[in-house]
Amino acid sequence: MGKPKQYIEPVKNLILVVLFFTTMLLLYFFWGNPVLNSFKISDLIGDEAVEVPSYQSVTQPGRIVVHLGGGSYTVLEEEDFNAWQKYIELLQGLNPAEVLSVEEITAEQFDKIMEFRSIVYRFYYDLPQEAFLKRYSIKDIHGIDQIGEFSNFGFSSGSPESLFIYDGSKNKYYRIVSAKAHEEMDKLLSLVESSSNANYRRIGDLTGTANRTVIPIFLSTNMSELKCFPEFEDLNTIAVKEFAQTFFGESLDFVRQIHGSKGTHIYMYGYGEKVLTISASGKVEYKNKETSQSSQQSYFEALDTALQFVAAHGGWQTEEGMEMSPYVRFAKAVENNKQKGYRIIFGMRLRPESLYLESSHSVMVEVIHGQVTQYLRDMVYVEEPEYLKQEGTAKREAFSVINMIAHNYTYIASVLSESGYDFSGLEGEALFDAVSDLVVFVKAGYVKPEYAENKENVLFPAWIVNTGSTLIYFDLYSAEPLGHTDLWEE
Amino acid sequence: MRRIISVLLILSVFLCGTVFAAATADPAVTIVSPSQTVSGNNLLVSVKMTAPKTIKVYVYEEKEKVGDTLVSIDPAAVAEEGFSSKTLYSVSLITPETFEGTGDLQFYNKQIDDITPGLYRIKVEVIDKDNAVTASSTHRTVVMPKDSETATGNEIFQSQQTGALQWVQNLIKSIFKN
Repeated sequence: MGKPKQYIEPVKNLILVVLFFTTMLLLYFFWGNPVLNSFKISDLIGDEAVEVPSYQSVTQPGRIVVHLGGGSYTVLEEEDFNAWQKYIELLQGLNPAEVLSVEEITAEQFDKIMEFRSIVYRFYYDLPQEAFLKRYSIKDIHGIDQIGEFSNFGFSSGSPESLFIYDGSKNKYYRIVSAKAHEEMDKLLSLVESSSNANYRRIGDLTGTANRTVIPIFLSTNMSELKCFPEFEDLNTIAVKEFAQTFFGESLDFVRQIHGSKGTHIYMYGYGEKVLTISASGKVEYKNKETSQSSQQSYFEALDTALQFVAAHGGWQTEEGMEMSPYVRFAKAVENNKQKGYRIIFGMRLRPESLYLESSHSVMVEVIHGQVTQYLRDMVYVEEPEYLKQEGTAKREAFSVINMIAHNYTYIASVLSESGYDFSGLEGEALFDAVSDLVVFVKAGYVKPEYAENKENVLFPAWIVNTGSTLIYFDLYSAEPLGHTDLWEE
Repeated sequence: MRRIISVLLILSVFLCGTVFAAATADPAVTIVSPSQTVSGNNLLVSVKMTAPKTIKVYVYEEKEKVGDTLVSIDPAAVAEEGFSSKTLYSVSLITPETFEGTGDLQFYNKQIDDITPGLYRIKVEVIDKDNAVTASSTHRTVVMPKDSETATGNEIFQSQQTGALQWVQNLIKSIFKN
């Protein structure tokens, strides 16, 4: 007869658990959204994990230039030959005991050694040395601390036991001399040489100047105009509300919502400590003025913060359209009220061409003292069938790059003058030489010009001319100007 | 010795090139590339035009006759033997290309692949509306084998400090934080 008593306590515990969960559910319905059909189990246990790109996947050289000897060059795409990963593995495998020296060399020596078969990995921003070594688990090499930041990495068959590094912040060149030759890099050069077209030349070889920037001398492509759509076309949708909720929480009770005359939606918390603005064209800007409680972050920590923030606030892909690959296009150190951080501009690749927006960026994140203080998001998407359609079209010859610059050098000079460049007293060939000397790279990509409202959104195939601080766009086939973007415009 | 030969080679080609180019050249049309000597297996032709002009570009390989066959000229032999006394045979490498430049500045560019070592000649004619030649310039270049750069890159760093000295300097720098 004592047996039923055995079950009394477990039954009581079970009842308590059921009552607890019932209480939780009732609280949710009373204090949360009272509509029963809005109940989602994912609201209680969280949505499926957001996808965050890795720091390795977004940290790729802006350009990998291979000199095949005799003044012939080729440019590799990110994934070609796994070239960047091979260089990283080489750095990771450096044995400090076998490194003879880390020494500064002159720019002339660097240029001369690159006259041999060589490869240069160009970043268009600076990677802080200490953070880079730590993040990529590269052993501490005696003397490497004299290099402040890594901007370019290189290898030349002319000095196969050396690795070359350029510090853009100091405009200084270095070489890391090992006891033995890096044969794997020489093998990579041979592989590239045997399977790539040497269709790039220096601007200087084409124009008779000293300009070492390499440009394609010929491009045949089927890149065509592509219809594109803004991420948020209609701001009165649940998707937009849910996006806003990621910044201010489920309940927007304490958030002022203002609908501007031009269709802009503004969400403001407090006295403007946190403001989210979504323009009628779908462009998003979020500013957070709250004082950061975090500590200062290194570049890669700030990058992690940015990657996670974007993943949690809109994600790295659009809901619709073909998948795109994010990458860090530019980055720079910034300071606000004596607090330091980084502003990172992310670009998007449409296999393999990049997407550019006039006067805007797909994603820009400013992280100061571990807190995201500014977030710009201007995502557009392309339907995959629309993109694939162009692959069936006949290839066309793109406008010659050097003639595109020759036709537009006065326009380029006028754009750069707005950014503070002084070309006074220069005209004709002298102006052309001055302008072409500022060209850092020219590549093909897609550009979305900034149109007036109600005009159809189109991505144009274009030549992208980078002059360091400004991107200038020209139609790929007619060389007509399509606009420009000042990289660091506030 | 090789360097001396190279210098002589460059000088001889330069002089000849100038003589040819001085004939009836148009000052608004300049052959920018190739230079007097190039190495590799392709040839870049770049012509700069500083006025609206129409040009016709020819590229030849200069060959010599050995027996009944035309053979490429050995680049090393050009300097030693010269070619002013030899009879050269111009073999066309491309179909002559006409390029119309409409602006005040433009360039004609062409890369010719699969080039073998030898002597090459680029001729640029300026033509008018009636296709009559109004000016002409010629430029010769010697294409050297790709692996002719025998000097090792480490010669570039010879003036550089020795590894041990650099190591000491790095050590001092790291102690005193630069």
